[in-house]
Amino acid sequence: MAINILVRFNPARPKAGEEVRVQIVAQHPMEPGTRRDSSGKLIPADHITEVNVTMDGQLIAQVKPGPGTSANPLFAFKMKATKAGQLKVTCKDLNGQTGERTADLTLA
Amino acid sequence: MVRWVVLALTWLLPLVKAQGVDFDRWYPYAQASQYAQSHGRILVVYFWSHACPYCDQMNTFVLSDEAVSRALVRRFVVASVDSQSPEGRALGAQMRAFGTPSFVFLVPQGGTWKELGRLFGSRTRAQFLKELQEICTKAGGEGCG
Amino acid sequence: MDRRKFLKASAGAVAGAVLASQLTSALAQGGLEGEDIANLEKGLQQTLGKSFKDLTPSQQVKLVAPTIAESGANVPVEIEASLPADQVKAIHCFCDKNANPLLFSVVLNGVLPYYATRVRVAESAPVRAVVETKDGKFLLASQAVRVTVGGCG
Repeated sequence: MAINILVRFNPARPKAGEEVRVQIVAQHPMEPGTRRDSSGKLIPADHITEVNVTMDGQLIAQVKPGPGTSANPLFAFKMKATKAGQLKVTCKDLNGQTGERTADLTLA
Repeated sequence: MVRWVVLALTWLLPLVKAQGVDFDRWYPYAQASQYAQSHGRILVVYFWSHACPYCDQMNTFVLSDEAVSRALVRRFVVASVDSQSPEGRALGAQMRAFGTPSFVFLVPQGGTWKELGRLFGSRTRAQFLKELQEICTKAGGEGCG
Repeated sequence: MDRRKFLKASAGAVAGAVLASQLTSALAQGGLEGEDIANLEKGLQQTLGKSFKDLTPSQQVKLVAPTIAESGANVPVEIEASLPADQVKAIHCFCDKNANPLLFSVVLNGVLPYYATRVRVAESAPVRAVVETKDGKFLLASQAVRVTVGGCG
């Protein structure tokens, strides 16, 4: 199953040159590999290992979250909204599952 | 020939398992209390609930810690009890364990159980380890670490 | 409350505040609650190939994390550097007492020197934000996070 990703800009439609916060949330259990289930067995590690964020094809941020990042993780950045463009987020986890989401940044 | 091997295995496997019980995992109460008696181990009745973040904290960071796991494997057997289940509510009332996480330590004695101690609430790895050692020392014998 | 009482109370509050700020600065010198440099060192060496003494505590790094967290499973952290965006290469974050001290690494390239996420903290310990600059400096900000212990009724 693909990893579901949500992207939100705050403000949703910034003015040119304004600071915009990019909030990315992935729906993922981020199992650290140290959690015991109800029968005391260790749940195998299963967490996102890489998140890539591009703007119009150019890599602007890369996150390497480890077992230390919480379940359903938030990844938030700030950028200057100089021009409209397409933001693309891709991610992959330890089991080779991947996720992808694009969001259009439009200016006010 | 193959059939004989398979037949022999199906007979032998339960025996092998019964002798080599995996004490790095937890069991339902009935099974754990039986292992405590047959293997001369300290029974830890662990009451937890899904909604309690302090249980999650114990499960993620304390009960999986290497030193804590080693101490438990050496002398204990853990009974995993969902405090919200009908069985869990009955056991909780019987043992007067009303919150989670709770750990009740018991040893078999003359057909009944003797309580060695109990803990309520989450704790740090170092503290839990110290408390396990104290309980183990109370029970006597080797391997309390 | 009459004026005199008010003055007394506010004088007390000011003295308290001064004491508190002295205490926090004393703690910042070392001796944060739950500090475990030996364990932290593992993560620093593995991730950055650096030692704790190679990091420079800096006012230019702002780390926002709660001083008390109800659950270690979900602790919000926010890191911001007051440096030009083109001078910051990456942001790393560690926690002294986690079995795996590295919480995350982020490489930034064209976004502002800022990152926010939520992390797992094993038990009361300092969280460390390390900002790696393009000219090879490692700037540090630390914040002790106390994870409450307790139970559910």
